Amino acid sequence: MAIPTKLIEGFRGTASLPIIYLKLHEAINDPYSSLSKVSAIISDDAGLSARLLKLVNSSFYGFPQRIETISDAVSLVGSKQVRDLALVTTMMKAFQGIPEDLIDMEMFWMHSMACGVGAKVISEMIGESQIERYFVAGVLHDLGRLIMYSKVPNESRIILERAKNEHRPMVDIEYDVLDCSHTEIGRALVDAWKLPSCFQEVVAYHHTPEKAQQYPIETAAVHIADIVVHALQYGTSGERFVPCMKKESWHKLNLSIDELPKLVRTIERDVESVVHLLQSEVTV
Amino acid sequence: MGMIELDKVQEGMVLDAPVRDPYGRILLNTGTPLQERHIEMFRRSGITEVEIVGSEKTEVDEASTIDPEVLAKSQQMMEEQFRFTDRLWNVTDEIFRLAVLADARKKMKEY
Repeated sequence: MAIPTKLIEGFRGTASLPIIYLKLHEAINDPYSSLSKVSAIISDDAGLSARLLKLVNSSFYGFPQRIETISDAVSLVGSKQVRDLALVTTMMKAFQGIPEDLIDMEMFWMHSMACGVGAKVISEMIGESQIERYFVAGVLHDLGRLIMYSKVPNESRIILERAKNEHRPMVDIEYDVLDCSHTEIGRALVDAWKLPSCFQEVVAYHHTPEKAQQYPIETAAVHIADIVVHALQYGTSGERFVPCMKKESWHKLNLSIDELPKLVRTIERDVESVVHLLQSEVTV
Repeated sequence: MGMIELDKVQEGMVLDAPVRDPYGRILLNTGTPLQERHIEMFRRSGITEVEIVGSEKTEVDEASTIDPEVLAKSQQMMEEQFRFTDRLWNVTDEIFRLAVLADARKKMKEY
């Protein structure tokens, strides 16, 4: 039997991981903050600074002159985009070295980013104001799988193989083999990182959204975004089947079925804009 | 899809989604009735398509523009992926329909 708190040992050290994201988030939302403050936060992280400069000087942006300073880069790319880039790059760095036969990391991040985009689009459609929180919650939702792949690779291999051979949802086999699932493991890490409790609930309950107490809307949004991006085949976290949607979650969001084409269309469009962030990352 | 090619966009049409430039910055927001100068600005920014209110009905016909064989293949593949979902529920069935269309569109592009 695997105990979630045991599995996350070794990742605690990376507790500062999403801190840079939260710092940037605060700076961006502070009306008295400035571009130079945002730039200063990024400059504190040499790795992130290098990545950002590499990104803005890549062919995707195609700026005619070479961008040499962080503040120029931030003003050209946009501070929110830089913040999202910071989140994903720091997370990707923390989970390097996962055996390739278990999961293609590019596919994993594609699934995570697309789910973030999906949750953000849903939040816009239902008129929520803190849409960025939905984005981050969506990006984080399958974090537990990464811990599984890195800490118990042999068991993970068995889980993936059994899910394939037995044609069963991966999350069910996780319980069979580990006695817990990626949702509980992910939650333990989010707890250890002391991230806002909204993210704890979303990570813990994205397959069982009816259990969410404090953040039922955020959890429902990620639950549905996960299903939609699965159906649209944006990357994978290992699961091969489209998860079953809980009717209560759908009704909780008050979305109408006629809005689904628009949801899909907007996700398709917005995913395009984050894909290049990802590609620039994988090749950095 | 409610996307309309820029050449077919006319003054007075209303945006159904924000128009963004290639850097993701919003040029014009949802709900704006378009004027000639907006259309010109899109052209200069390299925008080729925009989403227009009321153009949804074109989506219904989309399936008919896709090779039936491709559509059948996508449908078969999706049926396997959706095996643990409740397709008798209209919400899931609509997601299924959209997923089949998206997959078929991708396959058509690859040809």
